[in-house]
Amino acid sequence: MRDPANPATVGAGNERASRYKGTYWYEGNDDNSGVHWNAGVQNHFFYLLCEGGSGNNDGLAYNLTGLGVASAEQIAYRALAFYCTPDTDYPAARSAWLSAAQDLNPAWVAPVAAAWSAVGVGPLTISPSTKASFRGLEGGPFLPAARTYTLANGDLTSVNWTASASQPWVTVSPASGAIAADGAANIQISINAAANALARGLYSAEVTFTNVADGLTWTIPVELNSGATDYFTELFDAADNDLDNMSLMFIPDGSPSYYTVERSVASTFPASPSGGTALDLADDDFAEATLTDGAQVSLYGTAYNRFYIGSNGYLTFGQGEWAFYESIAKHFVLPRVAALFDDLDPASGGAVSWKQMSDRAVVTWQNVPQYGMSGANSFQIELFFDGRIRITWLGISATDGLAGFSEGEWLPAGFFESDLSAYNAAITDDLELITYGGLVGSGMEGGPFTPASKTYTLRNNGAAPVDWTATPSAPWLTATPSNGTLDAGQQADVVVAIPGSHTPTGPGKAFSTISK
Amino acid sequence: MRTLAMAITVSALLAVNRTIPAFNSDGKAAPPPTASGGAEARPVAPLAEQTQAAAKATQAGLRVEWNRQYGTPSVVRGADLGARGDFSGGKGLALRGGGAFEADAVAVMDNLARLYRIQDAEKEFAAKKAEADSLGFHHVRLQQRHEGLRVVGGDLIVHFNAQGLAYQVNGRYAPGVAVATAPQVKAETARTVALKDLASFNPGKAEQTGAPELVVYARGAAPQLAWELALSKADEPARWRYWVNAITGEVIHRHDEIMRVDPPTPDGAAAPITGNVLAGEGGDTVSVTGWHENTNGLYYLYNAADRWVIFNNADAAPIRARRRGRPTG
Repeated sequence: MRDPANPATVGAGNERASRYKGTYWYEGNDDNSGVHWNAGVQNHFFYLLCEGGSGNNDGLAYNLTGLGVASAEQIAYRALAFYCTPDTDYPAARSAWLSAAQDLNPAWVAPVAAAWSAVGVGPLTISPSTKASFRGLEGGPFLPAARTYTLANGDLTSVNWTASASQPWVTVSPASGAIAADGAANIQISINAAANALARGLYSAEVTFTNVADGLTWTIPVELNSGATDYFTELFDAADNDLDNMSLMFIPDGSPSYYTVERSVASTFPASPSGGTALDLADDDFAEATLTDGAQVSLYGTAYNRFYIGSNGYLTFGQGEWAFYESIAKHFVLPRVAALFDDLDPASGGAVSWKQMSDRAVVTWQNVPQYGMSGANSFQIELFFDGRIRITWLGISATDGLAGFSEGEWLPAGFFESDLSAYNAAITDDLELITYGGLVGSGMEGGPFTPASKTYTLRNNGAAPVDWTATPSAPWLTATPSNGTLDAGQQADVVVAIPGSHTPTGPGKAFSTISK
Repeated sequence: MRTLAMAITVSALLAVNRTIPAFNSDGKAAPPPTASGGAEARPVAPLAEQTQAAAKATQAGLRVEWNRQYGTPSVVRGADLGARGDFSGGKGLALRGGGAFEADAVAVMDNLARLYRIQDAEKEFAAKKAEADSLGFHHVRLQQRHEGLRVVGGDLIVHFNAQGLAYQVNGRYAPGVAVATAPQVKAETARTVALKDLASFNPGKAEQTGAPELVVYARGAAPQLAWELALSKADEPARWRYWVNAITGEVIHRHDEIMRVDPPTPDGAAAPITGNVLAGEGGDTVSVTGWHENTNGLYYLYNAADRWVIFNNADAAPIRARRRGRPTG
């Protein structure tokens, strides 16, 4: 079951880590996020504390004098009984053991610290431990500009550290330093100009931080997606659903992403739902729709003559689905077009219908509430027989949900979320908003809200001057200035803000409509 | 203004921490996709007033180690943490001494209030227990509370040495908890949400064990009002602990408190399990006789002295936890 002397050799499939965040360290959700499996680190620490010895533990050289089990068990009992809390993690466990050793016999502090270092738990910690991901078009630029990590020293003495990147296109700044006792330093990881020469593809690198004194290292993985494929999928997991009153037309264009996208403002459904077949969908249900007269729709080039309409805001192909629990992983399990993958309940309100027209199939969800909630969500998916797909959202009361396309090939390697509201508008007129995305503010009732404002830039693409006005739809929203005149080719900034007065007592949505 | 030939809409979305419509008592809700995981919270730096207090505390001989996730100390150590100094905050609660460790632990936190951003130590902490140890030290576990509710993720231990002086505080304190404590989701709705969530990946009859408790869930970045409850399964040993947001009805976090392991042998034969005593303790080989049987689809591993039980995890057949004695063979 467990071998504290060598947790990595318990048997195929049961190998356990002997080093904090080392080989066999488990980061997933199973085993309650690996609480038992990752205990191999503490098991091996205890073995080393008892027995001592010299060797190499998963890359860490050590040379220790053991305290013997009789002393070690006293420290163990004291650390666990009196110094650990329900949220104690490995760095806190090291601190707990050091406190316990200090109480019992100060001479035991150094051996305990050395044994923890031998399993990779030292005085330096780095947070977050998450991957530094960057992406952008081939040739750059790559976003974000930098990712910040905090290196903290939990020891009584100053610690010298160095950092190095495994690839020339990664910059780490600063690359070395000293951190005072109980201090911290911010370190930035960024992508430099050397990455501009990288061909399209997914690249990996590492930044390794080293404690000069004990040689302990921490590795932060770096990932760069050059010439990123767009998967046209966004998960709204921060109450940030901003799909309202928008239409996206996906046009097959032969590019690696398969589609190009044109965004436009929508206040009505492009195809009237009237005359369609009303579907009697229960909660978490689906219905089959079969096309007649040889008509076919397609998704990523695969043609279908039937599809399945889910209660929960999506179409699937090949088989129906009732999943209500939106997630990126679940989205990619089946070929899918999701307009609002969320726990919707057409049985308690609204209507879902579909119809076949001369050039497309249309499925419309009208005023469908989320399960157990008031509010309404209206959206439409049009599957054109020429391969184009259009999704139109009108009023969306849900603040969560998922929208996008799936080929049904499971989660693609290098997947990143799109920002659906950030696609370029089809240039159909001279006045264009060149800042994308909504303003999502949050805070306690009465304010203040963060962020409280966002600046939008308007541009006149035409040849003649344009007068414009900005009109907020709710009293808690302001637009400054609220009107103006743009000469040909000129730009102007409009600040849309939530000042904190006149705020509602619940979540709300409003729009600042800019018109000419 | 000319004819409205086009309109550009900027959507603004406002989330206020108070009123999302309540659920029907028979309702369910859509759990978030991060129900079992939860992203690592961004590091939070201590505020300037905290670092100023910490600088004064350091001058007074205290040692302050920071929890960068909460922006509060993870460890404060010193010769006498109850003694007031330049760094002191709070209401100036006096330590009583004479063995009143539970009250004195709260007074110590009052003294350290500026380091932790504690508003009112008397209201925010309840002593869970004071334990004496073999060295004559006392260790007081404090539960952080917010308007009477337990703060999940707010646990501190105040340590007193044999002279009765507080020498260390460690654990986690969640600063700035300001959530409203009126639930908008009923306890029974939270139970329904948890049952539906569990059924979505682990079908089979489940039932609640004990009444849901209204708590403040403060693991991670932003504290949330939550119902804490546990579900057991009828068809297998399990105790799923759930936290359901008491405003939005979303599952915040879940985990199974029962760990299951695979049987030690693939067939029904008795299996001595062999290991070695540490070399430093003599290095002898020892065998623990246990066995594994699959009659009635039940697997057991026994130790004659301790009666260990191991549950079957490999077989799809229903399994049940039972403890019973068996003669060693």
